[in-house]
Amino acid sequence: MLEHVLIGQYVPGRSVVHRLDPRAKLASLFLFMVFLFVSRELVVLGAAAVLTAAALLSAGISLRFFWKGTRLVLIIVALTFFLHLFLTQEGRVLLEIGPLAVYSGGLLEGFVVGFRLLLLIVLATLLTLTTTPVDLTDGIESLLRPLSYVRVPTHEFALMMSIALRFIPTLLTETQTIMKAQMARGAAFSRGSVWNRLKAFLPVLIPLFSQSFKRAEDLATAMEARGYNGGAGRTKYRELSWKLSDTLIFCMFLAFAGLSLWTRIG
Amino acid sequence: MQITVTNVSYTYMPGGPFAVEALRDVTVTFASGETHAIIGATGSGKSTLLQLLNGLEKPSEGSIDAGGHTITADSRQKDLFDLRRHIGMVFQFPEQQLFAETVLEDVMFGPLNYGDDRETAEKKAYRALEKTGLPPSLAERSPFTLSGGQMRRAAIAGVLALEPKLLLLDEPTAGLDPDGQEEIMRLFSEWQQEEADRTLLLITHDMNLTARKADHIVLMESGRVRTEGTPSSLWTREDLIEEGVLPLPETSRILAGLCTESKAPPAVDAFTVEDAADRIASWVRKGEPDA
Repeated sequence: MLEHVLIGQYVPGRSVVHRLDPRAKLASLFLFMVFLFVSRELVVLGAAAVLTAAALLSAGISLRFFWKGTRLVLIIVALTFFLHLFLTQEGRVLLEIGPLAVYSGGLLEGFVVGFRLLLLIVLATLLTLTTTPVDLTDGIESLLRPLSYVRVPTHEFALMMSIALRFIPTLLTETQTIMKAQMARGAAFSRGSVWNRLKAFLPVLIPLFSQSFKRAEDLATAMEARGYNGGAGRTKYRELSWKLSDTLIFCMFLAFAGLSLWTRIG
Repeated sequence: MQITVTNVSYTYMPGGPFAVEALRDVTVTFASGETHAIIGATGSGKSTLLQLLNGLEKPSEGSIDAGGHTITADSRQKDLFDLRRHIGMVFQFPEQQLFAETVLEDVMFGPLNYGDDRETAEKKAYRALEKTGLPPSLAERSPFTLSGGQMRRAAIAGVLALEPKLLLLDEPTAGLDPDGQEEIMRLFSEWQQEEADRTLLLITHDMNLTARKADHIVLMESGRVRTEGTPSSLWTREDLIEEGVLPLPETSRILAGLCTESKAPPAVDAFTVEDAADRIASWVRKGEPDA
């Protein structure tokens, strides 16, 4: 189950999406995130769906692989849908099951919110799938640079983030190994009551934590041994380069933002 | 406990860009009461095979028969749980899996999971601790305060406490000093000799260990069984040695050196220091190969 989780994974490739400047991808995603929630017009949702689908298709990632990796997250989407379905009380009553009533407004709201969330998850997953953690960090650091003038430690933030991303797959592998080791000693993670299942994870979590602390210490030592002393005066081996295609993509998302804003005001 | 592996293949993450075929059509039998060594280069599928044997992973194709249980692609977790009761598995660096507040609690974890009451579990735990040579005074200590060697023993005790019929070991001596390696292996040999049907199956890169301890060696190469046999039958096969897939144990290397030096036909199948010395002595007596 765990080996399919896609968060933080990078799939190598040479597609258009892969070759975009990470800053373009980050900024576009940010625009998308904000303006997707500004308007609820059908045109805007449609445009968002087209943008997402286009990005997904041009990234050259196997759709089956993508589906396997994101289907766990769909639980959240489904949950959101049902929450809105049952908790919104607008429009006419479509269905009554005991104390619960489904309103037409709830159905619409459920669809809209669920759909937005789905699009957002797909696009955000696509970002990490097509961008190496190093690029992603460079991009974030570069976008946050203005903040460093007001003494925000942007380099340190970026480093922390890249280390966290870097170790997600490592932690997943390790979790699996420990789970297997405890299963070999009769631990059952998929049986019994919810409380028992949660308790069954304790023998996994404790070794995982103790290993993580040890690893953090080792990493710090290794970094210091190679002369790392923070961000001041540090130059980069790889410089980011903003190309025409980056401008084009960013403009597409700007246009989307404009459309969204226009339907809201107009 | 005998294990029969029939036409087993295994693919990690099938269908995705990271799909890896770890095992291809593996057929091999591990006889009861013997010590088996699985050797081969890193990535040859040794660990995967080991994990299939106690049902931690299920084969993509083929079947495994272990002590009356059959593991196939659609085995149910419940059956695998019953199977694992009789198969202990010591992972690489097992000390990383300690979690409980005291050593005793950690060792009791397995027996309790398989339905023993606290009293029985405690008895089994103390017996296992004794076997691994940990003094009972450590039982109430936190496992995280032990030394590295002690932690490994405590973790191994946690597996022995299950009183398995078959013990699977994934590089049990990795990261230990020579004395530590010797002690850990002695512990497992003693465990095995206590009862006639106890079976030991280990993955190792240590050819000296393999040559001395194993009754049966399985050589893996890119997900397949390259060849199998007794130490004597394998280390007399020049094709494997010349190809470099089967490194010589130290005693054999000395004998091989003597044979090349004197241009005699190689006879390198002596794996303990005593056997090698006897071989050399007999050569000296007979005046060949020109020693």
